[in-house]
Amino acid sequence: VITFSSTWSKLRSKKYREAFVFQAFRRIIPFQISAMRRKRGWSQQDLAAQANLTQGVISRAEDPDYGNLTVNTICRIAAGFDVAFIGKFVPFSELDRWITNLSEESGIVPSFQEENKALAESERMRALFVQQPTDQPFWDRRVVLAMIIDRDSEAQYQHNPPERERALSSQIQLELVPQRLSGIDAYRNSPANNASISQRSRLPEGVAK
Amino acid sequence: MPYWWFYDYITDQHRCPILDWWGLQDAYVQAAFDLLVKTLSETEDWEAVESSKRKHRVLTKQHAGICELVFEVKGFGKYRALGLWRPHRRDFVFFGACRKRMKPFGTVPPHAFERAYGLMRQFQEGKGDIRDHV
Repeated sequence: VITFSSTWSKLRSKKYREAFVFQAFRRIIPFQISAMRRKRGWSQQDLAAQANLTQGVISRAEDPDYGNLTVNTICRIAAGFDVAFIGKFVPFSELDRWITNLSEESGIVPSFQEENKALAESERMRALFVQQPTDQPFWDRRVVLAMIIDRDSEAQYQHNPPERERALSSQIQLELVPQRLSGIDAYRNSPANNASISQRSRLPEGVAK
Repeated sequence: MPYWWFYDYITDQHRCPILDWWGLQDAYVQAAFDLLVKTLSETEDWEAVESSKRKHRVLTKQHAGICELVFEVKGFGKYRALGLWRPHRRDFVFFGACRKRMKPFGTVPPHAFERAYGLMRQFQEGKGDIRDHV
């Protein structure tokens, strides 16, 4: 397995550096296309239809030995996945980090719709929490917060590190609940479960009763 | 953590066949091989792709048991990294590599498959050692 030190020591050779950039472009993009397509449960035909390409083009795009993948095709495939593609010049340390941390999971990117939905949901949850009156019973806020964290564990923030950070910072500020509590479990284990109907009715919209 | 681990076989004479081969290759071949190993180590299911596109083939006849990892480098040719694929351990042990040549038919270096097969037999008899691939 390539590690930071082994890759970096090889990159000290100018010729190897040059070759590595060529080969990384040719081999990593097909790897990512294949991983993203399979993660979505799509066939090559499905991706071709989304990208307005033929299945043969997708098959070649996923073949690291093909080697003639054009930027135009890559951009069409990006459109098919509804994700962005950026090509930019980077220092070798960044290339090394990218390769070292490469995995099928790290290459999976959410579509714009998925990101938009996750952002809207997190904003909705945040608004719910912020609107809680200050005299709200402790457990009410706890359930809401647990739901936020539960959303986190549901991979809502899997592709959205900034929102994940925001959710975690909410947790740190309030210091209310242990991390990774399921929303439902938190509710069942909380005083809310034994609360009166009038108390339960004060639970924010969307919280399981 | 990778899905697959790659090892280099070290002979009783303290030779590492895959590193010996790697050191003689052009930088483009070296880089292609390194990235092939990296992408395969991070690919959970090697058989998820259509059979004609798979990068690994387990030989069944003369060199039964040897698995070849196939890769092509534009302008250089088609290469085979040879080793023992152990899916139950999720690892692969390298015994060497070669480029396939059509005219005249053969491999560069010569007899690469025979040599890899012999090393595999030695390994299975408990001779030599393995270490993490670098």
